[in-house]
Amino acid sequence: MPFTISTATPANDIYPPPFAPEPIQGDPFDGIIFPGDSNMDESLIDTGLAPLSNFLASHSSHHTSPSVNDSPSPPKSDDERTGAYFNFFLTELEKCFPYVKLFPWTAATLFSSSNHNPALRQSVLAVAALLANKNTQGQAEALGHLQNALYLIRDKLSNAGVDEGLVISSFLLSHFSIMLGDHVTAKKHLRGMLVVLEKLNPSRESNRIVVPNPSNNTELTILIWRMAIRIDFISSVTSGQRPILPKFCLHGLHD
Amino acid sequence: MIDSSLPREQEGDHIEWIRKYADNNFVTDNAAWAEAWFAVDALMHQTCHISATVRDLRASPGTASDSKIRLLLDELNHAHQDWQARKVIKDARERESFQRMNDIFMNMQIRETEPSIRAESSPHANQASKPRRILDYSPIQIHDPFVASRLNNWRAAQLHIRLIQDPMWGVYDGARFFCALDLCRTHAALEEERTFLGAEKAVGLYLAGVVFGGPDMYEVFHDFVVESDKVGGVGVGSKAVERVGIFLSNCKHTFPQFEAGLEAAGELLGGYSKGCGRAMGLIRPNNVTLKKDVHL
Repeated sequence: MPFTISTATPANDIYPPPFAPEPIQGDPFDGIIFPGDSNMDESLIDTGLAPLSNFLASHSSHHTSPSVNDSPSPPKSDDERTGAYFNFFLTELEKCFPYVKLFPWTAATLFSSSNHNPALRQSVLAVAALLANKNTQGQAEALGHLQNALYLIRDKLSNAGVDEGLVISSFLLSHFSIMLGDHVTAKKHLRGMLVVLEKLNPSRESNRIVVPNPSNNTELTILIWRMAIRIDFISSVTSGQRPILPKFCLHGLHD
Repeated sequence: MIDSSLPREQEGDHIEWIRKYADNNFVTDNAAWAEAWFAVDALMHQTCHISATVRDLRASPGTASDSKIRLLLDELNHAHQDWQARKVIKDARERESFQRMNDIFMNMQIRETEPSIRAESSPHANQASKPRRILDYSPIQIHDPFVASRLNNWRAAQLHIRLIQDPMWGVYDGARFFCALDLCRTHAALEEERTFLGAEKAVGLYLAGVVFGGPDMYEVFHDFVVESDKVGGVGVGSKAVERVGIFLSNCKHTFPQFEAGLEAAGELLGGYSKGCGRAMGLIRPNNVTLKKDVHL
């Protein structure tokens, strides 16, 4: 088993219970912050990129060809390293995510969105590190970013409420999990994404599950939702369980 | 029951959204392709929903359940058939057919020319002489990897629908078998689109593995040694499938009766990670003697 990162527990804890009954009084995400989570290494959060302390030294010697054409060249500082992985992710987005070929603005939009959203940025970096490096240290780096992202998401949920950045972050963490073959955690993140979306798009009808609507959500969120549907059916086939996200059929979409 | 499909009043918004945001500057068909790709993925997603519903209905058998199941499957089958009736799909398939005919015609001409000319003019002159293929089945030539990948999405949906319809494995079902075979042949021939979308491809391959019937019908052949230099050009797929192998190893609950098929699929993908697409050749019928030069 070349990949051993477990993401199960943090995802378990971070989101409110799936499809929690409405209405929820006050902050719907109260009580979900777990500062004492045993799976969360506080030192990693404090230092940001602690797992990467030896990354650069071994990167050039151990680095196997990445899964895509060009990996980021070994940068010298944490900032440069982060920047390099971020750029790498954006340039390789088309190969890593569906639909991007048809919607080429995705990379630029994701970049600008993540500039103002630390949780989203960490989520991007987690996926980027996993894509770019298959060696142990690459995985450690990915895990570090994942933990940072989870911490920031929790922080945001408790202090600032929900926004579309959280939707995208949740999707990326789900994607991260599916890359590791962890469909259980992938589903938990999808469920979290759905909960956030429901908060952003409250339905007037009690029996209708909300799906993102172009009139209420940004174009990036709509596209991410489509990508999430794919993660959802992959997880569903794998687990033999009903998908998390509601059906999304355009009945009249024929030419 | 909760109606979880997209509200009809929102459909127009979504279609408008696609046409507005798909990049049509360079490829005029992009919006149509986006619609088609979204639709086939939504179909697979819907199939997963219906799979769960049908499983529940079968837990309480009766006329009402049977009628409901039939209705749901009819709906799925119609949606599946309708997808290939899209103009952009029909046009793409026509182009592909024309190009294949053209290839055949060119090959016939080339056979009649001098060997040196043949070498220069062959479209595969600089590539490995043998196109990738599965077992002894004739290889196919892919002209547009994007289109071929979408057709494989469509085939995966078809396999899933058929497995819901007839949840048996190891039985010969011509249409289902040939669909699985086409999916594998296409996958074998694909190169450019071997990207990180490996998990999705694994789903199709997994369903094909189930349809093939598992090790009782198709044994997994372990003894190939694949030279690493031959897979260098498709490293993307190789890496992705390493992960997919783990992904598949986590498949414990899907189609419990297909556990052996799952193992076969897992083995298939495990072998695949060593030798990329050619490991598709690791699956063979019992009664076929697999030669070492027949792999992908």
